[in-house]
Amino acid sequence: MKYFKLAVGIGSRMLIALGVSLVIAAIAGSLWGVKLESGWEGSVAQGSGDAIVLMAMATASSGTVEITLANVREAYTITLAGDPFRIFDYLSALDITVQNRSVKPDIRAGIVYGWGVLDASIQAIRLLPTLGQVESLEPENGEARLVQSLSPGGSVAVVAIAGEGGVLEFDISFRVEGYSRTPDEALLTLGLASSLTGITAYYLGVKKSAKR
Amino acid sequence: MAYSSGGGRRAVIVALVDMFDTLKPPGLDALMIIVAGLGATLVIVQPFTSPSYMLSYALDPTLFAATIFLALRGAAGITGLVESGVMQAFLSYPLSRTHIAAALYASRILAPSIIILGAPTATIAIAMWPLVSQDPAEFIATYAAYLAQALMYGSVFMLIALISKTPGTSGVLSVAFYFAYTVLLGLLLYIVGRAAGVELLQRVAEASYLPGIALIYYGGGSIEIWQPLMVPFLLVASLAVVYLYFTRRFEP
Repeated sequence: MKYFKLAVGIGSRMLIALGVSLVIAAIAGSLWGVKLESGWEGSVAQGSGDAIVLMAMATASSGTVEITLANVREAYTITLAGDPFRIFDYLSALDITVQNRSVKPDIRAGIVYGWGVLDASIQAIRLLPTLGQVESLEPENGEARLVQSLSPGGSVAVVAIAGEGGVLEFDISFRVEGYSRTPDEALLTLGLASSLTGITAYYLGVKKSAKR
Repeated sequence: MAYSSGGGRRAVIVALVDMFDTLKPPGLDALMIIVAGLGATLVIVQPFTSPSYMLSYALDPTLFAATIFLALRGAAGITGLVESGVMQAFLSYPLSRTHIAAALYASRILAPSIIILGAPTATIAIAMWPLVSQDPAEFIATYAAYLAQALMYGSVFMLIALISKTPGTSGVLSVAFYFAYTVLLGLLLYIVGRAAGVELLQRVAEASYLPGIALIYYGGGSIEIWQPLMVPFLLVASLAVVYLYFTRRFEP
């Protein structure tokens, strides 16, 4: 009986902890729930740089990224696994350095965007296809478009040379695919039920039997 | 042989009695709520679509918490049993040392590891059930990888506790071992292997962290056949040393 009481004591405490954490999860889900679509648009001045790199990395989810560039003369896509900022290691191997950069994480959509202005000769930029997983992206009427599927941890980068005026306009969008979870209401109900069951079991199995 | 009759049942009783001390409230309760609540929050605010990747987000920090618990409360608590004379009482029972070692391992290392890592795992399994149900084997295997890693650390901590016999020394040496293991095997070996261009060193460094191997495997990466076996081998080896030391050399 004593050992049954011990087992009930530990089990009821686990139920209470599970219940409280489910309630916390339900509250977090309702306050900061995920976004299934995300986007970032703007423009980058190439300035004294020679090219611009735009990147997107899926930190948590699978999905489809779409990158649209306007006022572009030449563009190349680089597919990477892991941290997209490792692209700078690859680029430095071709004597390409980064002058300026900007990063925008969208954690709730599980994606990180970024751009950087590159300092390199046109010859070095044109050497990009010699790297693995680099493809030339042919612009049409100054506009280049890339649609690519990303898996968790996967990333894609586009290196582009701006056209007239040296300002590149970009629009990156990401759509999460294959995501689903238990609704907040169900989590809250399960959490409260688990906590109440744990409290009742603790009271009946441990406290009450101790009084006998 | 004289102890074999009812030895298993008595060992379970010793484990339960000792578990009452290891898992006593409110320390474990607060830890369970914090790791499960925060782990679930980490997962629920991001749109995960891979069970292993999702669980690793919560269990990476939880493994650290479990390791500290095992070092300072689980294994170091064994030295408390020696100092308070409880260990001498256990050894005076009509029980073989094998049974007592198994009971202490269950109550000090196995049960806390299962519970601490299990709290966020259970919460996430419920919260993300539509995703988890698509591939429960991947979810369970990822949990098992973290559990094996924690048990391996715990086995070494238990050995340190049995040899040192003082709580302070045991706790500090256990944390020092954890630090040395992760830095030497996990980081330095990888860096040296990369710098020297020796792939085997990089592979050994990867294999020293079983959850990482699970992530590489389920992420579609390539692993060597021996890599998932390294941590389980270290676990079995450290368990064998604990067993041999406790049954042949340990004097409370």
